[in-house]
Amino acid sequence: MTALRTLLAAALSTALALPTPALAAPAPAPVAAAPVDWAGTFTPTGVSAHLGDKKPNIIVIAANPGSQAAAAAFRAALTASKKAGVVIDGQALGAVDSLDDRGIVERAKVLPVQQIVIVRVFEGSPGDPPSFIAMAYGTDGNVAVALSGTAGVPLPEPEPPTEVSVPDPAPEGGEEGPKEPEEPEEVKQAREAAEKEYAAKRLGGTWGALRQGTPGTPISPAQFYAALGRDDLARQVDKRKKTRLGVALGGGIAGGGLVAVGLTFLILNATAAKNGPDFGPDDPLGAGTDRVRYPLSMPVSGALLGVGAALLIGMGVFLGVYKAHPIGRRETPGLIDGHNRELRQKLGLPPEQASVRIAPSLGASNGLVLVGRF
Amino acid sequence: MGRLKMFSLLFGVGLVAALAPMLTGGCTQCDEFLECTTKPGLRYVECGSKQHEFNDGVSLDDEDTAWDYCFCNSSRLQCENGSSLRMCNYMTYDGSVAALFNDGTYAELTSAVAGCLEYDGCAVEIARCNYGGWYLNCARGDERVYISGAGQIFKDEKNAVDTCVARGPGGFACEPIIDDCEDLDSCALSKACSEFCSSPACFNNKNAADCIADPACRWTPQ
Repeated sequence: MTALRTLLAAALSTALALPTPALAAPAPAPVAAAPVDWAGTFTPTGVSAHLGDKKPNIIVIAANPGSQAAAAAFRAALTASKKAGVVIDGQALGAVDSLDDRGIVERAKVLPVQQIVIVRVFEGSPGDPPSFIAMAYGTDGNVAVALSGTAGVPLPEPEPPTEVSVPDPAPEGGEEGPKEPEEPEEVKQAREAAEKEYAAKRLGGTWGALRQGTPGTPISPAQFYAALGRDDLARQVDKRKKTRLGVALGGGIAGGGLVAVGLTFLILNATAAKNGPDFGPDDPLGAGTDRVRYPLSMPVSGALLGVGAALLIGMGVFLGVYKAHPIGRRETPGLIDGHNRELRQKLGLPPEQASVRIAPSLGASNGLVLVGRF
Repeated sequence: MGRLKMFSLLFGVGLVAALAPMLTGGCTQCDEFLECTTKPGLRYVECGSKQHEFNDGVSLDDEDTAWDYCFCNSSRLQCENGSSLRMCNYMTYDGSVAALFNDGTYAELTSAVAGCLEYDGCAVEIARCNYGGWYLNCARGDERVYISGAGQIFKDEKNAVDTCVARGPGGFACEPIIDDCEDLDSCALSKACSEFCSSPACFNNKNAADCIADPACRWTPQ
């Protein structure tokens, strides 16, 4: 798939500019055969640049009468490149002159090939060399690459992904200035060292998951405030942690204990009659109790359960509200940005730039990928 | 996750601390009842180690107190020599009887009471009582007295019998305690034997008072 993407990326500029034959398009009119140097067009280097490393099996089909020589040269170049697997011609398909691309692909996809290349040649104006279109399809019928060109002119090399950066604001009144001189090696090394230090010391993450460095290791709130140089806040973190621990300990033990006691005695009281005294079926006096008397009655047990539950809920609410962070969630990004800005300034680095990178995404779903840093 | 673990730990500590007494015996089960002797029909159940329930509504925490309430009368029998004793009858428990003097010494009940009241001897009577009731039959020559478990001294036996019988709200019948009326000193003393001095006809006693007064019969729970 990488090969296909690369291939299509390379062909984008030309393929978009030239008319690509639709799958359902009728076959073009035949052209008279003329001695043309197709080997100069389809060089091993030129065709193999679009293949990638997977060495696919390829069938190269001459789809109109004048295209036999071109297809043969294409096959020869592929074979000579040693970057394709088996390279075969279209003889096994029979006559394909009357078929459109879709029909050809339908016939060819049963063969043990991964790519189907359909070559068509068009006669140029009198005196001009013929031109060609070579469409490469996957066995699923999707276009993998579209190549076009003129006889005798080598295939173009694939173009790398395009990166677009938002340029620095131009100096006031400055039109396009002269190119900056190349920086000396010492300056470059110093800048790289500064970038390295910045990468190690920069802060990031979120309020709940703070990080330091690139890509970043998790740090505690206290470490975060220490990195900011805010020892007062770091001390508050410690204090708040102790308070939270105290509340959690007190609330957890007391609340859990009260809930347990209350619940236990509620259950015991509810089953007291079952385990209670039995004075016999002929109880002569019949004035005794039939219940076990527990130290805590039902109402007291219920009250304890309620108080325990309230303590636990209160503790939960407190811990939810009273965080170890002395600052709010919304203030954190500002502190992080401020710290990173100051750090860059201190290290003599320019402010971070926003950049946008656009790269083609080719294959099953073709399109463009936008990668941005702001 | 860490907070959840801490909360679970704390909650667990509280829970275990609170449940520890329950788990080590807090879930109380009551034993079988014991028939007491201080009051006819009185029964006693021990629940756990601290709860002692009586079927007259009394509930006592202390085991010794509950034991005394069941088997040892609180009333003291005043002795001729100025001392006093409590009469304890454990016959429904282990068959023993005991007297507890005010100086803390124990003695065998019948001989202790006989000595206390300067009688020749005493015997524990239960034949005409029901449940765990009893009284003492003491003799000095031809003289006889009957002493209730609460220390009351009666000349007429039926009064002593009256203290050892639970009447109850129903489910009782007057039944013979002897096979032959000839066993009595006189058939005329018994309504059940007065008509035919042969087998006692206790059913002639239509109520508890008549049955209790009849030496040939006992007011028996059904």
